[in-house]
Amino acid sequence: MNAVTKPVVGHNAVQAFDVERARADFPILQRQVYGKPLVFLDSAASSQKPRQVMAAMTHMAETCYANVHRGIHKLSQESTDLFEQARSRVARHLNAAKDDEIVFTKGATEGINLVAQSWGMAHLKTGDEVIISTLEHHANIVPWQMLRTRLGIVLKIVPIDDRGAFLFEEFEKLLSPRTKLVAVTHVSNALGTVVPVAAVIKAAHARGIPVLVDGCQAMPHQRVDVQALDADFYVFAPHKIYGPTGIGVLYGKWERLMEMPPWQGGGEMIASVSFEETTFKEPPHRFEAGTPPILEAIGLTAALDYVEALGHEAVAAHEAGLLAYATERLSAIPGLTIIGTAPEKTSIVSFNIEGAHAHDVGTIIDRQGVAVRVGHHCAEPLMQRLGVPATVRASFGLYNTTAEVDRLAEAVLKVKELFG
Amino acid sequence: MTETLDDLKALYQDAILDHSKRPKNFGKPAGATVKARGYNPLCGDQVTLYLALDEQRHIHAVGFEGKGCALCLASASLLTEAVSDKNEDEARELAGSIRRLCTEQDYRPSADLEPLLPLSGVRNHPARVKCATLPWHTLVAALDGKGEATTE
Repeated sequence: MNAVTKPVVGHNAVQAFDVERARADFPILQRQVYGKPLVFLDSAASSQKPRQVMAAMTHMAETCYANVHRGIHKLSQESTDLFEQARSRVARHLNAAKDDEIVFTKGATEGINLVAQSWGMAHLKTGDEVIISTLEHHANIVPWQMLRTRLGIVLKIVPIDDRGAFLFEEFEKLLSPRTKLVAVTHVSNALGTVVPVAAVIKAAHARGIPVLVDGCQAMPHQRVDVQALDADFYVFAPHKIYGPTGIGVLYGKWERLMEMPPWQGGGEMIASVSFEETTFKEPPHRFEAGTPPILEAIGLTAALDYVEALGHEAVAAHEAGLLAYATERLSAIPGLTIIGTAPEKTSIVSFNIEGAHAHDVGTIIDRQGVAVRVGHHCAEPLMQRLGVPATVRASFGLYNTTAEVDRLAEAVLKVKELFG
Repeated sequence: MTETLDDLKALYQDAILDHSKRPKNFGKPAGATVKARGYNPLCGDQVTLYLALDEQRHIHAVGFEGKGCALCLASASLLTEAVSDKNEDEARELAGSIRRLCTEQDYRPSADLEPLLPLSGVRNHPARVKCATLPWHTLVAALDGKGEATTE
């Protein structure tokens, strides 16, 4: 065997990541809160926006904004081009097979509801089973419960272990001839657990079952290739990946989208309308009734440009460092329990402090300028499984630093000082 | 940092911490005639309040069960002491006063509210007002015979 030394270039090379330089792109990080520099550790709820995103949206609004797919005037044409380029940009980022596999929605939640109401209503019937997991956000529970009420489908729940890890073997046992869809999160928003979605998809596809992945918490932290994953549906929230609110992305395989009837009716999604009969456009426009989020699509383009320029691997390495450091710092605090210790985690640390409720902890931490989320994180069934009413959640973005983790740890010590 | 601690000390006064750690009248009292459950779906705080009312709507005994943050538990504990041996109208008036105490900066409570003054700390923490007022909403629900109260 000859030893071949490959030059370290191409996508394997991890770019050096300059966090201070990245922070300069986020003006809000200069803010003082209660007289102290803001430490923002709530990016899992929504990330902050770099100047580049806001600048792109402002530029469009100031130079060529008009409604899309409507007029023949110049601005409408330019806006339509930019809007469709945004679709193309998202498709390239996700490595979708074609641009028209990208549907713009008003949010990730709407993307899941679209699949449930359109694909689900057309393909599911009484007694059919849909598999979700204990880790799901309410957005990937409630739409299926609504279908259960309407259609009499059965929800099967993949259990987790005490560390919050997805139990793959238990998932396999739930697969049955009645299983018609698997809908799972890629990363738990409450614990940071990474679900082995590639293996889930492989196992489901072996039985001809399509899979929807809720990618909201994965997209900011790793490069997702929907073709490599072979996901049938993949949804994500641009506002969690440094883009604007008001827009969501639903990726659907072309053949899946083609087998789905329209969901909401209105302008934009029709081929022709008479009072006797209406014919519908093909996907994705079939699913984009009404004026879409135009400026937001341009903001999303800028956000994807931004993270790609920084390099997903460099960002991921930086965030992995933050997670490891935070886990170590927080674990050393007596009385603090980390909730969620699965072997595969990303960018989220949930914890509780003995003798203090998460809300009291949140208030005390907040007053020291550190923003964390407290509560059930829209994952009440998960909290019930773990036997906690709520947790304190610190979540990291590309702009966070180890010094900020230190501020968090110091803030937590104040809880002990007060609650003794 | 001292200023921060002072501000937090004003919220988590000793009385609040004591009541939350060792709540008074925890549990269902003997002779309870009505109960109501209060729930804050945003944070998961929940209290069940029991009242022993006689035919003249006089409150003979009060107790509560529940789980939640220090502010919610302390408020429920303080409530049980404050409304015990009050009549319905007095209890309702008290609930109204507490709402003002928890939200209005310039509210001047009457002298009989003194034991409840530690709750006023939430005035400077708008996100936490509901924690302190939940037991009082639950009290009104119990008196109304509604059984359920929520704050959102």
